[in-house]
Amino acid sequence: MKNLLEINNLYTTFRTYAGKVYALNNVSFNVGTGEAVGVVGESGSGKSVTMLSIMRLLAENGFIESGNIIFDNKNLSDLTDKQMQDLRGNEIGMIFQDPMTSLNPVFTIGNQLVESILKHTKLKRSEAKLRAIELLKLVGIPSPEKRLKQYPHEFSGGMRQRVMIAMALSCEPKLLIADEPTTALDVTIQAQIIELMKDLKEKLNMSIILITHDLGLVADICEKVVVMYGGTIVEQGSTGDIFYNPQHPYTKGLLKCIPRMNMGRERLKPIEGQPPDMINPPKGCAFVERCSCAMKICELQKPVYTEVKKGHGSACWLHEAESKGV
Amino acid sequence: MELSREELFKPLNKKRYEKAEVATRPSLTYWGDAWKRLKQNKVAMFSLAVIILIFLAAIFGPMLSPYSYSQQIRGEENLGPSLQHPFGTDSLGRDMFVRVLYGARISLSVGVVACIINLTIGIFYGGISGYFGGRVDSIMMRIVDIIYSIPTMLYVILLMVVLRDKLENLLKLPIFSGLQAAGSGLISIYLAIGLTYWVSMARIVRGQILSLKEQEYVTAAKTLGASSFRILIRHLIPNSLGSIIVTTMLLIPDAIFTESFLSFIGLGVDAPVPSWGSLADDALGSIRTHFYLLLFPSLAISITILAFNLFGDGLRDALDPRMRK
Amino acid sequence: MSSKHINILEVKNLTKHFSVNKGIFGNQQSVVKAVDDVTFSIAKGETLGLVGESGCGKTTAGRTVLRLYEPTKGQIIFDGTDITKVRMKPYRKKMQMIFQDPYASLNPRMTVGDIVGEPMDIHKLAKGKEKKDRIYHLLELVGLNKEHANRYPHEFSGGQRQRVGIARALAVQPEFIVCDEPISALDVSIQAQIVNMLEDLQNSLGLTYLFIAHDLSMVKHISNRVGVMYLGKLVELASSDELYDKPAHPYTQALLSAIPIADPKASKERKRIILEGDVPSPIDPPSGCRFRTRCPYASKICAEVEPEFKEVAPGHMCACHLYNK
Repeated sequence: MKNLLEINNLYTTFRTYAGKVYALNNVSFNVGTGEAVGVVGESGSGKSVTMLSIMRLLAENGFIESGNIIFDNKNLSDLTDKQMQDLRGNEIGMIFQDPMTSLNPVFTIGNQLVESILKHTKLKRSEAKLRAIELLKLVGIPSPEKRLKQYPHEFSGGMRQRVMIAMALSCEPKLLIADEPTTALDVTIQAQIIELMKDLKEKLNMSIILITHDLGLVADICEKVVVMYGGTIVEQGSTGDIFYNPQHPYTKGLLKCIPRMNMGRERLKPIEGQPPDMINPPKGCAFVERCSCAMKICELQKPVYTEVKKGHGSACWLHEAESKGV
Repeated sequence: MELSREELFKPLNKKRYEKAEVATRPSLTYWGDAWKRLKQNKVAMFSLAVIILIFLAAIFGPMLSPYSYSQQIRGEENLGPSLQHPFGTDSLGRDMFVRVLYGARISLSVGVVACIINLTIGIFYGGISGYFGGRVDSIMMRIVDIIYSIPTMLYVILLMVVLRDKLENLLKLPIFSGLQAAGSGLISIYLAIGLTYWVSMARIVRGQILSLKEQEYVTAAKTLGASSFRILIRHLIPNSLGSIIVTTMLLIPDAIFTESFLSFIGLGVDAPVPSWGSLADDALGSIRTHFYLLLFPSLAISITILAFNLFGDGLRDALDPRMRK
Repeated sequence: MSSKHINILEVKNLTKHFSVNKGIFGNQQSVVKAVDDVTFSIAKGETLGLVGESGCGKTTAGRTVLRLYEPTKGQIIFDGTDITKVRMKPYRKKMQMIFQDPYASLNPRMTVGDIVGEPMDIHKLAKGKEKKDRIYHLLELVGLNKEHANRYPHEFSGGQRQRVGIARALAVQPEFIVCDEPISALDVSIQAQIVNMLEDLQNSLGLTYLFIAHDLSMVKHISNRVGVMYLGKLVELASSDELYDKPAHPYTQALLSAIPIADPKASKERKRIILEGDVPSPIDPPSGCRFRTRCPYASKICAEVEPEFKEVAPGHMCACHLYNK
């Protein structure tokens, strides 16, 4: 499988009045064509910042310090702002968490969709309108002709998210980045949206990056999983690898602390402690404060990424310890 | 100290996570954060310095001057600015410098008193209206709307005319002997301005309360069994303080101007009390010959109002709940 | 539904309607039937989970039970006493609430110590040193330190703020706590900490919980019995295991099949029931059974007659015509 997106050694920081925030430290992963990759992490893990860095949508005080991003064989840092703007919405589509605030309330859905299409394609307005109707049908919105004339507030949350997906898909992007697309939605609506995304992925051979904290969603739709903590990737591998053979203590901890349906009333095993402070990141491994297997070296040096088997590896000193028989 | 391989890979036994670690960011309250931002605003800080200077001049200036504001010095009428009389003298030989400084006292006291009356009435009126909502709110706000629709100047002038006479008689009563020195003119100004501006404050407070009412910590307080009074005093008003302070700060220049205007048209303080407005009024006659008589009071009004406005703007920006991330 | 324990809470035919004003003169009234004819009870020391999607009325039900909203109809019986129309303040000591949003449910201008101490002031439970000691004890009970009492909410993380909210609820030594989505706003790894703490507190303090949430797996874990709500109606109520193993109501079945499973194999093997369309508006709910517009088994009677909420298996209640043989 060819790599559609390659992220190599990405470092991103933010300047705040309280100091420099080291949001991303040496993030590297790839997304193949037609592949769905789940990026899992909690607050402060850097998962959203990674996406904003790819799209060059970081806030004014955000900087990509080093590393490169290669999309479809183009190095994104070589592109000008205008070229980047053309790329966004055209080859890379994005959907955000809150469909309530991502749509402009004073314009009709049709207006927003058509504008998006017109901007990125050479279609005439009437053609764009037809395409908009087609898209609404594609994402499962009933009576699309009527809906075009309606305003965002006349749609429910699930419908709005579908409209966001329609907008993101309007130019048939090669890559869809979905940042917590279903967190604000009900469980049954979430199921609909996930089925839709699976469907579209197959039909359009589209790659998806799904950013979420919900491991269940990742298990459902993704082939590959990237686990982030404290601005670094602590583990990545295929879905099967991550769920059935987790290597990193954080991944293991995460899997242990979510309640399972087949569990009895046995106690959950939480991960003690709090997510790290990104202004004063620990010198060594970001997870050292909360890790039950931490060793002296974990405090002192950042662990090196080691592959356990092809395509599955984690950044943890335990590998080194095991291999050296310590 | 170089550690051996064995030592490096020894497990850490101690509980590294503090059971409850608090954020390592410097601990700043809302006010501390606002003050930090305000300090960075050079214009606002400069205006603050000017305001402090004016206050100091108003309090200590007249005390340090060899002249009193009503002292008429024969033979020194209509003198231009000089070392002895930095702002010159007027047609009755009174030192303008001490008169302008005294005028500062008048203006600032009007600002402060207007502030106090305005805060007291405005906060409670707005607080009650906003908190109870519904019918109560509708009626209370309609009253405010009516008052608001009357042009301020007209309203104040009407109040002054009505109050002045009443106060004249009232102040003759022995219990008010202390206030007599201030003069019925000044007291009626305090009252008139105080009774005018509470309306804006009430509106602002009500608006804040309406939006804060829906906050979850208010619901939590209700769940705990807090009375409406407690919720207003402990929860709603403290969280509205930002808006209240800014509104007040921006109201002072308004009040000062209104007082100056009233004195200018003769409805304000009684002679010989030197309000800047009355000084300007007196100076109108000799505008061509002794232009400095008008210049200094006018400058005083302008600078004071500008300083308060600029500081108020800076304060509004600093208190803006743009939460730092 | 009866058990050998005494029921600390019995809710009978609880109804809460909100009127929404429409039309130019506000005379056209629409009614949002947020909670409609809901009946359940909770035994002492038990945790009853209440699940459902947005608009189902679970949050409204929780708040109405605490009389934060006045019930339109029905009875709330707390520990044998009908509290539907009584003065609530004494009961606020026995029934408390934990809120969803740890950022909004704490007053940003109060220190943590003040927040936890406020209930003691309201009910005059302690003063001075005794109050301070109690505050420190509560903070430690929820896993914080007494040094944190002087800090402000914004200095804490979400999970810690939630702990403060729990300490506040415990300050009055309640018997019954309504937990309104207490963990939805927290990180996954923190959720487990809070849930464990709630369970521990329940055991050590003998608390009873009404646990409202939309995370079905978490609800199953913490609750003894679970009720499912849809559009204001309670459609199913059974023990935790029974509900998840043998769901009776078609909505419950669809809901359970929609939960993401953190297990790729199981996820692919699972048969998903995808419901068509959206939840209807609670202003104009469908006639008869409210779920019929999305139900795969809907028949003619479902549109005409509202199904009765009755026992379909021992201790297992359900409102569906499929069980009316």
